[in-house]
Parts: sequence; C-alpha cells; structure tokens
Amino acid sequence: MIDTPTTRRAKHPETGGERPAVLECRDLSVHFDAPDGRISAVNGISFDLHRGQCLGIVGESGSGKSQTFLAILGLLASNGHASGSVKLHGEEILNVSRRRLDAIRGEKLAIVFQDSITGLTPHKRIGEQLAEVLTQHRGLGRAAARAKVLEMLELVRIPEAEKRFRMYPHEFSGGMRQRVMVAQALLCQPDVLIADEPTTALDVTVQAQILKLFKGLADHTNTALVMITHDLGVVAGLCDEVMVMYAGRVVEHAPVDELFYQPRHPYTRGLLACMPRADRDSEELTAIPGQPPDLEALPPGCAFAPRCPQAFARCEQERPSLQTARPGHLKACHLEELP
Amino acid sequence: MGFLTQRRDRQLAAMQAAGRTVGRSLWQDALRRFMANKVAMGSVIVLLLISFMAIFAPLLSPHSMEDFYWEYILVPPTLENGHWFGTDSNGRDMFVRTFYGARVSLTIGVMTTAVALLIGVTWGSVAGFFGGRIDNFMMRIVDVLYALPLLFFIIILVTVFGRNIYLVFIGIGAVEWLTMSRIVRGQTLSVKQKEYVEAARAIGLSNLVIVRRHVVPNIVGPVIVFVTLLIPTTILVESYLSFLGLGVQEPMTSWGTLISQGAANIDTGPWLLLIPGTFLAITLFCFNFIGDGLRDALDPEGR
Amino acid sequence: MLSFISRRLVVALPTLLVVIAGSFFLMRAAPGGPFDADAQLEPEVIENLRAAYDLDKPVTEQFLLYMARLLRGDFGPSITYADYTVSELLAIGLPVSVKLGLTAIVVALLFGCLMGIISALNRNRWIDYVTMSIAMTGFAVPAFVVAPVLTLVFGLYLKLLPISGWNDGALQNMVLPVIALALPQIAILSRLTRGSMLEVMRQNYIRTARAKGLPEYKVVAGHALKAVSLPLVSYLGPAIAGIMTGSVIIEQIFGLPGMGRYFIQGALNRDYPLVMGTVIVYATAIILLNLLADVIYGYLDPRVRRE
Ligand SMILES: Nc1ncnc2c1ncn2[C@@H]1O[C@H](COP(=O)(O)OP(=O)(O)O)[C@@H](O)[C@H]1O
Ligand code: SF4
Ligand SMILES: [Mg+2]
Repeated sequence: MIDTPTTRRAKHPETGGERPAVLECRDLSVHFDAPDGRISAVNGISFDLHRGQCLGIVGESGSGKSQTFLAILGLLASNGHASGSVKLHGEEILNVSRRRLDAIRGEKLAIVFQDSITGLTPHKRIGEQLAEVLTQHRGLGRAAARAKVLEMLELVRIPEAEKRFRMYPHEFSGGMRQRVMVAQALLCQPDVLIADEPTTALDVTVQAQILKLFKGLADHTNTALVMITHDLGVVAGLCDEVMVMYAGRVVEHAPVDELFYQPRHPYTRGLLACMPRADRDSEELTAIPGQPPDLEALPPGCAFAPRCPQAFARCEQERPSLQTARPGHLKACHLEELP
Repeated sequence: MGFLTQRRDRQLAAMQAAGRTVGRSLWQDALRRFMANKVAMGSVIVLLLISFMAIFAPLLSPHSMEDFYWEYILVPPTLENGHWFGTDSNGRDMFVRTFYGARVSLTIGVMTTAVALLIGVTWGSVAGFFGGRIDNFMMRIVDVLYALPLLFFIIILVTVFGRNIYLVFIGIGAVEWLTMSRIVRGQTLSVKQKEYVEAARAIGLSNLVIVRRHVVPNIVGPVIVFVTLLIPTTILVESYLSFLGLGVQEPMTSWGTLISQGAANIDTGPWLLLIPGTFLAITLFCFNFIGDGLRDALDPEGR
Repeated sequence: MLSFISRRLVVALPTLLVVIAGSFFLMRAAPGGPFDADAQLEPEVIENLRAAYDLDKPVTEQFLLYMARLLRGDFGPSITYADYTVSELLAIGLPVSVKLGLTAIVVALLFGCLMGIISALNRNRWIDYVTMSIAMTGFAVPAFVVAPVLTLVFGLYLKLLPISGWNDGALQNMVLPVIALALPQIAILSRLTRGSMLEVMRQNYIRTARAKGLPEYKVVAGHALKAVSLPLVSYLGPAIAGIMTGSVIIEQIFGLPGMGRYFIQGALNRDYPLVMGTVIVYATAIILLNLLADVIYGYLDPRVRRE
C-alpha cells in the first residue's frame, strides 16, 4: 500500500487496521499508437479509492484525465494500450476478458460522460436504454425493470417520469439528459461512479443543479465518486481529495482543503490563480501561459518546466517523482517549498 | 442512372469535406500531400499515358480507323501482323479504334463535365449568393429534378432529336449539374456568413470583389474534387447511351460503341469487348483514385 | 407518421405531373413523327393515321386529351405494335422487369450489407482489403461490360447457364441478368455499409452502451444497426433508379421481354403512347419507392418523423 492521503485516512478509527480500498490503481499507463509514433497519454498513475469517498481529478484539457478512467473501464480506443494494475475489491480488472468486463461495467463501475447529446443512443427510447442495464445485470423482467427505472428517474428529479420513459433523447433538454445519464449510471448501485466532466456542456444554473445531485449522492450513499473536471470550483464544493494531473502524470495529490490553502506544486498554484470567480469569466482556466507538452515527445525533466515560473536548472534534466511533502500530501516538484 | 445517382452520396460528402480548406499555403500543402499519394499519382500517370495515346496513336499508326483489311477479319490480338489489339468483324484495326474511341470518350467526358460545371456553378452560386426566396425557389427546382428519372429523358431527347454527339454533351451536362449546384450553393452560403465577408462588406467592397476574393477560393477545392469524379460519370453515361446505339454513331466510335460491338461478337471475338472494356474500367478507376486523393489532400482531417 | 406520408405524397404528385408533361412535350417538340419512316404510305393514309392518334390536333389539346384518358387508366394504343394497346404491352413487360429488378435489389442489399459489415468488423485486415477491392472493381466496371463477360464465361465456355431469353423467369435464366444488374449496387452498398458501420461504432453512444456492460452483440444489434442502416435507406432511392436504368440495358443484352425493351423500341420508333406509358410506369415506381424509403427512414430515425 502506498502512502497516499487516502490510505492514511482510511485507517480504521478503532482498530487502527487498514480498510481495504474499493479500487486500487497502481502504475497505470496508457499509450496510443499514432501514425508517426507513440502518444503517452497517461504515465504511471497510482491511487486508492474507498467507499463513500469523493476524489476530484483536475487538469487542463488533454492531461490524461479521461483516458485514465477509460482505461480502467476497458473503454480505450482501438489504438490505445493500458499497462499497470487496477484492482476492484482485490480482483485485477485491467486488460481482462470482455466477458469479465461486461459483468463489471454498469454493475460495479459506472461512468457518466460529459456529452449527453451524443452519449445516448438517438434512436432508442430513454426507458429502453435504462431498463436494459437492469435486464443485463439483474435479469429483471420488463415490468420490474420499468418500475425500478421510474423510481430512479424520480430520484434524480426528472419530472413526469412516466411520460419521459417513452421519449427519445432529442426530446430532452441538456440538463435533463445529463440527469438521465446519472440515473442510468446509478441503476445498479455501483461501487464506483466516475463522472467525466458531467457539467461542462451545461449552462451555469443547470450545472449547479447537477452538482447538487452529485453532492447528494456523495453525502448519502456509499458509492465512491470520482469527479473529473477542469473546474476547481466543482472540486471545492464536492470532493474530499484532489489529484492534479499534468501531461499524463499526477503532480499533486492532497486533501481538498490543503490543496486549496497550501498548494505545493507551481502548476496547482497556477490553476488556483486563474480559477474562475464570480467576478470573472469562467473560461479562464487555460490562462497559465504556454502550452502543455507534446505527448509524443515528453521532455526528460519536469514536463511543466517550460511554463513554470519557478523552474531551475535541475528541472530540465531530472524528472521530479511524486513524493510525500507532508503526511497525506504528495507532490512532484524539486522545490522544497513554494516561495 | 445507376451510375449517375450512385456516386452522388459519395461526391456530396467528399465535396462538403473538401470545402473546409482555403488559403494559399494550404493549396501548397494539399499539392504536397497529393504528390505523396502513390495511388493517386500513379493514376495521373496512367491517365496521361492513355490521353497521350488517344491523341497520337491514331496519328502515328500505319492503320487508319476506317481501313478494312479483308484478309484480317476477327483476328485476335497478336504482335505478328501489326494488329496488336486484333481486328473487328469488318477487319478494322482495333488498336487504332480503341484509342480513337478513347479520344471521343475522354472528350465527351471533359466537354459534358464542362457543361455541367457551367450550369451548376452558375445556378448554385446565384442561389447561394442571393439566398432567401430566390434560393428557396431555385433549390426546390433542383429537388424536383433530382427525383426524376433523368436518364430516360436523355434517351427520349437523343432518340427524337436525332443521334447527335452535341446533343449527348448537352443532355448529360444538363442532367449532371444538379449535385454541382448543391455543393456550390452550400459553400457560397457558408462563406457568406463568415465574419471576414461581413467585414469586407462593411468596408465597402463590391459584391464582385467579395466573390472573387472570398467566395471563389472557397469553392474551388470542392469543385475540383467533384469534377474529377464527374468526368468518369459522364464517360460512363456516354458509353451507356452508345451501347444502346443512341450515342456516338458510325463511322465515329467511342468506348461505349466499341463495347457494344464487342458484346455483339462476344462469342467470336471476345477481345473486341475486353480491350475497350478494360481501358474504360482503368480510366474510371484512375479518375476515382484521383478524386479520392484530391479529397484527402484537401481535407486531411477527414480521413 | 400518417401526416408525414401524406406530406410526401403532396410533393410526389406534382413531380409525376412534371414527368408526364416533360416527356410529352419533349417528344412533340422534335421535328418529324411516328410515320416518317413509312415512305410508301400515301399522304392521305398518313393524314388518316395522324387523325386516328389525335396527332392532327394542337399539342396542348393533345396533351389534355391524353391526360383525360390517362385519368381513366387508359394509356392508348401503341403505334409500332399496331395490334396492342400500351396497357397490354405493359402487362407483358412489367412483370418481367419487376421480377428482375426486385430480385436484383434484394440480392444487392443482402450481399452489399454483408460484405460491408464483414469489412468493417475486420478493418484493415486482408478480408477487408479483398472485399473492398471487389467493391472498387464493381464500381468501375459497368454492367454492360460485366454482362457480356458473364455470358462468355458461364454461357459459352462453361455452358452452365443460358445466355439469353426469359423462359418465364426460370432460375437459370435469371442468374446472369441479376448478377450483372446487382454487381454495381453491391459495390456501392458494401462501401456505404462499411463506412456507415465504422462511423457509427465511433460514436459516443456506442461507448456508453459498452460502459453499461452490454456484450458486443447487444451493442451492435441494439445500438448500432439502426443508425448504420440510415445511409443505406437514403441510398435506396438512387439504388432503385440505378437498377431500373440498368435493367434497360440488361434486358437488351439478355433479350428479355421487359419494359426497357418497349421503352427503347418506342423511343426509336417515335411511338408516343408507348414511350409515355413506359416512362410513367418507371417514374411512378421511382417516386413510390422513394416514398417508401422516406417512410422507412422516418421509422428508423425519430428525429425526422417529428418535423
Ligand atoms: N485514440 C487516440 N489516439 C491518439 N491519442 C489519443 C486518443 N485518445 C486520446 N488521445 C490523447 O490522449 C491525451 C489525453 O486525453 P484525455 O485523457 O481525453 O484528456 P482530458 O484530460 O482532457 O480528459 C490527449 O492529448 C489526446 O490527444
Ligand atoms: S520541478 Fe521545477 S519545473 Fe517542475 S514544477 Fe517544480 S519547479 Fe517547476
Ligand atoms: Mg476529458
């Protein structure tokens, strides 16, 4: 067991023994075969996830957030390859057979994708799309599945569920479709729910409603929640812990409060500095000057060096490894302290 | 209209894809990408060879296409008697006839495409440029024509007005402009809505200048691709008509006419069909490969 | 759905009218007439004949007369086949063409889709390359080249199949014409299917379906197939038009007594009623089948049905 914030906090309060994680990810890497080389999208990521925990994953677009979890679910594009180890309740699930994956996906591991417009099958009624999850995993009959689906639609606050059951995706608003996606993911009460930028495509008021839905989930169920986002604001209100990713690596991993008040990595600090606030436009996350590195040719040293205001000679030669800055707080930076 | 309609989907998609590219340096990039495409470049070379032969073979050969060699009737291809492609049932030299047919087929292909190009570009750009009611009306006409069995009209046209080669040009051209007009209209409409055109209008450039500077460069790419795919289509329609005896008439000949004569002699002289048939197929292949290559070169992300 | 169909019908009727009027006036606009070739006929005889077919009246009047008859379901008498009415000729030709055309469409759909799906599922493997090369060949080698070659190989060399004749639509007489007619369509349909399949399997909702834990056959059957078939359905109209024009030439090559033969004979002899009759039947078939394709499309795609 590695020393992540989670493992430390997961000590059983009475016995002091360690509670096993629901999901253990070790040294997960993903690369894609490209016409002119090899794209390293994810490079050696490790973390643990426990029951009832909410883990935030932040980073600029292209930093490997989505591919990390698609790899865990066995959903990489056909030119993608994953290596490392991912254990669900102690059982290895990385690169296992399709049969095994089918039994896990939707049942123990569920995901809500960002784009609900293209994420639901356009020519199939919403009700059928939801009910088939139950038919598949629980062997429920038509009527039973329908009843359960209606219940779930109401739980995610979809009005007139009976009527909506027979409608097609294009007849729903963006927010309603996203609720449907959430309902679909929750049908089998999964152990882990992954939400990949579930609010990015929505407008601000609807975003708030959907986040409230997740908040309720995080607070009232034992489902472990992974919230992928490039919006630190989302993380602040929802997560216990945050993992910051840059160029396919974790650069900082800390409890949410610590990350906000005492960031240890210049990149995190950059992200916080341009965090959208009420008095600013919300699309300013990319305001750190410069571009993320080319994943086909990662530099030998720190990937953030070209953009880092604190970079010094060593940064370009030697890659900083992820180390404990303080108990429960990991960072990958050569600097001892941020100035 | 099998071959008229069957290509339309593909063509339309190709055009719309190719429509996204503009700009000087992009043209150079496109050219470089096209040159790197071996299949397409090979096709260009093969087509140039066929065209070269179409122009010069009838001139340089000792035989003329109308010479009857009574002692050589239906002789199979051979290198010995000077009739490399054999002779037909009238003892005429097939080598000369094949390339003479190439000349006629290719000319008809290019000329008819030019007719279609002219009508289609005019119709489409007028509709797209003016928009609104005019556009609506003009495109509705295109829709109705699209739904008609137009090849039947060409057949009626050709039969009742006499089998005249110019009529074939005009008939096929008049049918094949429809897709072209849709493409051009779509491009014109989308360019019109771009900010730089608004800006050009705001600083008072005339319509003509706007069209020349902004609309034309945007249309050229898709049109070039469409033309390379339209030429084989028209060649095919011409052969279809000639095969039915409605197109090119004796003593002139085209691949379609030759194939028709070959089909009539299939039992005694299969080469009469196979040779022009092969050249026709190779030509169609080449144009299609070039069209695909151009589309890929103009729209690299589309692949 | 009903209003959807009726709206389409409203467009279809004017289209048919345009076809009728177009071919009617096109034929009359040309100089000459059906009796030009009969040089031995006395002028009075020709006058009488012209009167018998209403050809002495002004063109618009002829048109109105023709339309009035047409509404009663009467296509008039044929000029070339003097003992037959056009309806009788159509009754001979239509069943042949319909049987040939339908068989070709079914064969084309069957093989085209199958080849496309196999290709897509084995993308960039040898079976994909082989299938797509066959398709490319079918694309570039026209039916009027394929058909004689087929008769040469299977009829004259191998002596397996008859090279011409209808024989009341016996199987062995149908094989070669159907292959020749279906091949170009198979080529296009297989390319379309392959492209569509690859496109659909890239969609986000396919990933969602997999993320739900559905096995691949359920993903394909339940979430992909309908969308895959959409471009095929749109292509159905052009495919039918292609089969029809193709059958004109195929009937000629194989000597089949179908509509195409009457159409060509009619056009060559300026047999106005016969040409009109065949064109109207062709156009009606194309329009109706396009309508059918639209309806299928609307059934498959709920978004279209709504508007
Ligand atoms: N199929 C693919 N082929 C090649 N590269 C890919 C593929 N899918 C994703 N990538 C690359 O992986 C990187 C990480 O992507 P992703 O995890 O989706 O980023 P994000 O953090 O925005 O979710 C991106 O730079 C992208 O270019
Ligand atoms: S290692 Fe160097 S370059 Fe990288 S973040 Fe730390 S200070 Fe910046
Ligand atoms: Mg992402």
